[in-house]
Amino acid sequence: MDKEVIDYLSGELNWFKRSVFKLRIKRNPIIKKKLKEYKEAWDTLLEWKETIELPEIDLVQKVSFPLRLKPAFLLAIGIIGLGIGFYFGLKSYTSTFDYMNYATEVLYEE
Amino acid sequence: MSIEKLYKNYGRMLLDMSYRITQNRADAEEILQETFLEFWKRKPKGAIIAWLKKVVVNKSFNLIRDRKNLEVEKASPRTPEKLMEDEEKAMVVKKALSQLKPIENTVVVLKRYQGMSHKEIANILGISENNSRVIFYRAMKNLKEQLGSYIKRGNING
Repeated sequence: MDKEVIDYLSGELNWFKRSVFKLRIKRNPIIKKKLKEYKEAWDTLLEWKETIELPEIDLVQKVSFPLRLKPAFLLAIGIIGLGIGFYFGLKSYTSTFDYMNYATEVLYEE
Repeated sequence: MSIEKLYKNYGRMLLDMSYRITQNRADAEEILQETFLEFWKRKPKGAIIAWLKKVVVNKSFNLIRDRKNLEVEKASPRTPEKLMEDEEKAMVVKKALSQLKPIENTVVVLKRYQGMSHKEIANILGISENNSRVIFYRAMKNLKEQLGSYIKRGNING
């Protein structure tokens, strides 16, 4: 009996079952009493009206440039870096070589 | 739909759902943020709202299941007498709900406050429709007992 009352209150019965149940309420005082008790509890649940504010959250910002450009950009920086490194490396090698030649010449002369 | 629009349109409903299950603002806010983060990472296809509801409910349910005692958070006082009375009523309902088993609490919240059918509840919680009904009957019986004594004292609806 409780199940029927709860189904009736929570809107789980179709129109036909609802009509039959309504008839039964009129005829059966026990069902009527049960319905009253459950309805009070059912309505009381809605006494909790409290709502809370939706917090502001920082959503991810749009990237300023497409991500696919990032690897290309890094590659370009890498190539330029290698170029600069190679230039200075070679320059220092040349100057060391010149110095060694000069030092060898001086040694021979002495 | 962009994540920003989803948050604006459905955030409040999801937050309310989580808050009513966990009965704790901080937990509800954290669950909401986690859910949107997961959404952003996974980018689920298809029924997005159903997916969001499912994640929020399951996270909230897991939280209250793992928490031994559901602490009833007191609403912030807003002074006037009527509001104090409303808060007292809310506290009674919250306390009654917190004394249910986690699964019963979750089903009642989804049914009463979200207006979901047992089919939807079963789908979200991964249980059968019949199981959802049985849990709901049991919960309502308990609530009738708990709230009944309070109603009889004339404190609510009187």
